[in-house]
Amino acid sequence: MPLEIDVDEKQPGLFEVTLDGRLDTDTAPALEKRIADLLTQQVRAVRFDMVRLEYISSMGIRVLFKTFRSLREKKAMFLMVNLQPQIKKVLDIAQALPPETVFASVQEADAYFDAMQRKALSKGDED
Amino acid sequence: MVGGDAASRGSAKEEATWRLALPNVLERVGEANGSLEAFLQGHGVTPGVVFSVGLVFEEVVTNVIKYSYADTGPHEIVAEASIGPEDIVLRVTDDGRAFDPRTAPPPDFDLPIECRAVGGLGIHLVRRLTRRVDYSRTSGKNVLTLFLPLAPGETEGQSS
Repeated sequence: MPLEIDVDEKQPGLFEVTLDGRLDTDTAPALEKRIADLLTQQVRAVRFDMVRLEYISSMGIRVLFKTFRSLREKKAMFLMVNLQPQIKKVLDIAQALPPETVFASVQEADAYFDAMQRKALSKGDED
Repeated sequence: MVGGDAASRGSAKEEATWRLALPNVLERVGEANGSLEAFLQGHGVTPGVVFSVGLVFEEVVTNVIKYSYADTGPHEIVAEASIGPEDIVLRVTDDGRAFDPRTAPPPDFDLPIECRAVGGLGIHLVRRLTRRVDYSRTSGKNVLTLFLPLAPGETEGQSS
């Protein structure tokens, strides 16, 4: 089964990447390429919606980790929402991504994104 | 369709078995995994166990294809699965260089993933999702036999 990847800019700089299907040896290279293209733009956050992701293997985890690392270098956010239990279990075992990048819902992830944006904007006043 | 032997569906009394010979081509792993998962689903194995068996299969076979062969020629990997009373037993046989994945060091979780040993994450997932792993070198072939519990919650991989 293939992987369908949808990329949608929800707010300026906040990109939602929806994964539908299987992120495995076969499909990981396609996601890696889409992410590389995405990261050529002005990105403040990438939010992976995984509600329809049914399967992930170590090849898929590597692509997610590379995305996390690239975003961190750009001081941008990496967020994951709506993980199915089996996906969460594999990510827990792999210990490749910080647990605080996982959000229970889009609303929670957006609230975090908004709070971090406000913090960044007000930073000049606080210093 | 996947080449090789078709899945055989015995009667309820017989032990259900599946066998597939696949080439050392990464692009064929997903298709083979689909065949294995269809066999398990067809025998009423629960989705969580199907997921774990499929993942273990993919990690083992991709590691064989990526790291086992000294040459670039074609090789055959034979995968077999059977549904026992307590476990799914998965066996993978390859003619690559001798490698016992049980001896691979665990990943260093302090290192970022790209700095960890190659294949280490896959082997780690396999260890955590299996109850037992046997290895033998027989007639110049690696024979890896993996036992995955049919009832969830029996491996250390069950966290939280």
